[in-house]
Amino acid sequence: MIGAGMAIVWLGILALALVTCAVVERRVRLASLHSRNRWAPLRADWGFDVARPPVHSLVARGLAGCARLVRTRSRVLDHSLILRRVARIVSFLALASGLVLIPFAGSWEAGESLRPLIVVDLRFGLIAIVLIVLLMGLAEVGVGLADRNPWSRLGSVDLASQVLGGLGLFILVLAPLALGPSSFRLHDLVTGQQEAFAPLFWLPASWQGVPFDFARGLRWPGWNLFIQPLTAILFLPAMHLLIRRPWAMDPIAGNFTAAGFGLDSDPGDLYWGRLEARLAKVFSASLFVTLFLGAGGIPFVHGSDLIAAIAPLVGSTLPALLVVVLGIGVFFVKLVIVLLLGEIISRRVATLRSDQRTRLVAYRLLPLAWANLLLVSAMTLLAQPFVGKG
Amino acid sequence: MDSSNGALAWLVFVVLAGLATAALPGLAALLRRRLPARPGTRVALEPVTFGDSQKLRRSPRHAVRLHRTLVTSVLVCALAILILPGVLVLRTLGISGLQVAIGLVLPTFVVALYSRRRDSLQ
Repeated sequence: MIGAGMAIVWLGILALALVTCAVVERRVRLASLHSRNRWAPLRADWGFDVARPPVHSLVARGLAGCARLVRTRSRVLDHSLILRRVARIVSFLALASGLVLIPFAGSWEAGESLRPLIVVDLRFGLIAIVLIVLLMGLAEVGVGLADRNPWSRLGSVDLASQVLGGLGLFILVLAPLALGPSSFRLHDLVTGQQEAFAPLFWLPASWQGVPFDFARGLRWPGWNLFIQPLTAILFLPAMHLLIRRPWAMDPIAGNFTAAGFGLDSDPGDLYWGRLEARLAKVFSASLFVTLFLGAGGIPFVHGSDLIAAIAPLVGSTLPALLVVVLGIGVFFVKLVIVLLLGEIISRRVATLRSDQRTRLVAYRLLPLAWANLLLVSAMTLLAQPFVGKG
Repeated sequence: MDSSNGALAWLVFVVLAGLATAALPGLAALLRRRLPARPGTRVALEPVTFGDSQKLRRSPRHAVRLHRTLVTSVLVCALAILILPGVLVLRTLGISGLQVAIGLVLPTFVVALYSRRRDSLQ
């Protein structure tokens, strides 16, 4: 029953994250438009328009979206409705299966045992996420193939190549993360990031003085962001490739391309497409928080210490509950920060053509990911003989 | 957490998430039925086209480039998928995993080199 309760809590957090995602997308888009001066388009008072995108107000845009959903739906003559529906259901199931694996609430620390609070705790969670992400991407290819025009099919081929290339990079990025804790379980990866580490411990002991002693004693959070920074940087383009959707008319980014799908979409299709894209974005951000920012952990603060401090006053159950709530709050704050930074970065980076994207992945990012994997493997193997001797 | 609890939690999440996401379109469909327009019928539209000529319908150069991209990506992905079991083996066997890997890879590598040499000689 704990898992079912966690599912309800996680769903509430995801709903909040989706609203935050919509707000962040709009704010960042408008902020970048202000700096474009005369290139900024005119604002429409109401509704979605190609020439004049909608207004600032989130509530007004939400109401306009609901009003459009009520209109009579359209049916394009040569579209395959069945393929589109099946692809949407597969995509939704894959996304939901990926989201339930995220350890967003830490552990229940009452008593001696530590019980992970995850909706579904898989031993090979990291490998499951790889397969789920692949399924998500291929389901979206199916959505594109349901539009039977050549432009949409070109968009589908583009998406298929992008997903496969991104998956190769994604696997190479995830592999070093599993080396340290020697586990594919997401909870173990999070637990391994809770201890602080000294990044400058290797300074020679012969270097004496206050600055060197300070540098040697400096402690940083043991997040993978600091321990494997190159892995964290490579994770961003890999996830971008896996969650980017080549829409002909992208209402979130404001882009228009010929080779993309959704050209004839009605408001209902637009709703499902936008929801899927935002959920995928929230999924990737929560994965980044889990893998690189220690999930809901607070740097230099242990939940067990907090519980031990309060337990003599009110018993152990209430402090353990408070620690869990605090962890969930910290996770959400980190999620919002990652969403905001991700949106700002994606606004600042130029949109590449498909062949440019593949060339970048094949000739620059993949060799870098290989080098990173070899470096981390070598460091791990070299560190092994010294572990027992310390 | 055992597998039955995990399956139940997954089912609860999927069902609730499905209900939550379908609530808005469901409400819209309910409202649509109350409107004077005929319920359940969709407006049939012709697909969007950018002209009738062959050149406007498709761009072969672009398609070829995309096809090449797809093939490259499949090869890259197949190579990368081998990494995950490799990492697991490296963790469980340690340095001896490299010896095993060299024992497997080296004969294949020699045979491949020999076949390339034979091709070039012919």
